[in-house]
Amino acid sequence: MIIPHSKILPRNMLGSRLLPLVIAVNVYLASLAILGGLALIGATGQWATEIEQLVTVQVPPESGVSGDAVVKSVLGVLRDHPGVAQARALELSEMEALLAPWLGQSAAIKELPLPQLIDVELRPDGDLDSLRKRLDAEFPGVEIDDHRQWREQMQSIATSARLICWSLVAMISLAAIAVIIFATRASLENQNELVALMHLIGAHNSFVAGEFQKHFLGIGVIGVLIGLVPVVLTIGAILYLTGDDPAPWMGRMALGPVDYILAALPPLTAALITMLTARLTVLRALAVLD
Amino acid sequence: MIRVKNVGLQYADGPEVLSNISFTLAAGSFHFLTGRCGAGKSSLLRMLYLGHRPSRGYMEMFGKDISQLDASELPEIRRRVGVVFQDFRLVSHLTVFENVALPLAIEGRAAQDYTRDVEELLNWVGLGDKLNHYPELLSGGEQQQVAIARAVIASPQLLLADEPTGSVDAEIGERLLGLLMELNRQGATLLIATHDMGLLERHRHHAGELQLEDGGRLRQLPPIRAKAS
Repeated sequence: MIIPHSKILPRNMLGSRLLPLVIAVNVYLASLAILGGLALIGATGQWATEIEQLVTVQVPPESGVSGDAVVKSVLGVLRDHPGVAQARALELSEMEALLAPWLGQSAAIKELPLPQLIDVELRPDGDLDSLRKRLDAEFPGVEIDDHRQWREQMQSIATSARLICWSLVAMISLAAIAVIIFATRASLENQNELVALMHLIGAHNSFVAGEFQKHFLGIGVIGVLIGLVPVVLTIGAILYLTGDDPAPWMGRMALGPVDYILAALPPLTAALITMLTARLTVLRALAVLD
Repeated sequence: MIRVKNVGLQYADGPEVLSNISFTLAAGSFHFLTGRCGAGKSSLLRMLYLGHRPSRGYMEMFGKDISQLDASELPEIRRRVGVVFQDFRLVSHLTVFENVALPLAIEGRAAQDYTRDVEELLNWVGLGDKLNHYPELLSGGEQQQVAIARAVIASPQLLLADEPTGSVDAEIGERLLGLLMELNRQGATLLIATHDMGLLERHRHHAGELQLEDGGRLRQLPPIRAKAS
């Protein structure tokens, strides 16, 4: 691949060696921030979707003397409902396990008037409202917990992750732009005699800016090529870890094709940003000199 | 072609280095610019190659009032002016070929369009075998030749030279001057700043003189025609 460069400016201008490394580090950090953010957003989204399809029906202990009969009736209604994929009453041992963190393994749990819990899995298009109305009508006192609180927390985590991710990308980009502006100004200062000569020979500001633009585009391309190496290695590691048989938590972090395209944005745009920043910096500096 | 009337020139808030100067350079004319050291010769040349615009007065170049031009219009005027700087101002990281081709590259011409012209010119000035040399490897005279070649490559209408024979021996000096005069014969207006009174005397019969005096004033003298014997 041919690296673009100016035919008039010296190749080894001030900062020409270090700036590609700075750009490479920024490209990698920005890609990493996007990948991390997208993985977290994906995981919370998946959790939220799973919870959205699960509800818990609570049959209170005071529902009647023949509690088991009520539970059976409720289960019958649930299984008949078109929006329900499956419904299952929790065993006493399962409810004990749920309470164990708070009450321990005490035998007294069995004596407590615990509500009977029924796990219900809704179909993807299941209508929870009609189910709730039917249970309210036929079994007053029976409650449905749709885990709204958990879902809202997940939503909040996903929103925060998105905000943090893009804030990080914005800060990394701003830091890179600041460094490029500094390097461009230093180069312009360093080459002021050549720039003055170009002007005296008849160069427009846009021509001078174009030469700096070409020079910094070359630096940007080199920086991107260096930065791409760790980005590709990181994506490779993620693909390997989320591959055929990933750990459950890692499976949730799996990224889709769109996510990888978004993660490729910093490398794709870094050279362009470098070029445009240099051009605008030179044009602005020369306009002041005019 | 060049009309200067009651022009003053000062740098920042300093005193005027040129004061109320007036002169006219007709198209295709040949003039020497003379004066003591510090009289303002370089400042006058700088004003003419638009390195610095007049602080006051009227200056017209190629039919345009310079004081009325926007900064973005100056490059078009500068492209019609070729300059041989006293310190050459060659670009050290560019080869002889690239230095000479610089005005054409700045004009936006493609390299394949001007390669032959540049090579021919460099052959003509005697540097055909040093196209790919860098300026620091050349002698003072050779650097001067490159500077002249760069000034003339774009066929300027006005050619300004600041002591173009100052750092070369008499033989090369005459040869370089011959190159400038050849362009003058082809229609370019030529203004040469010099201290070399011998050079002035040898060409005084066909060259006018702009004589800068103390206080930044200027006298314009016509060529001294030889008396018929």
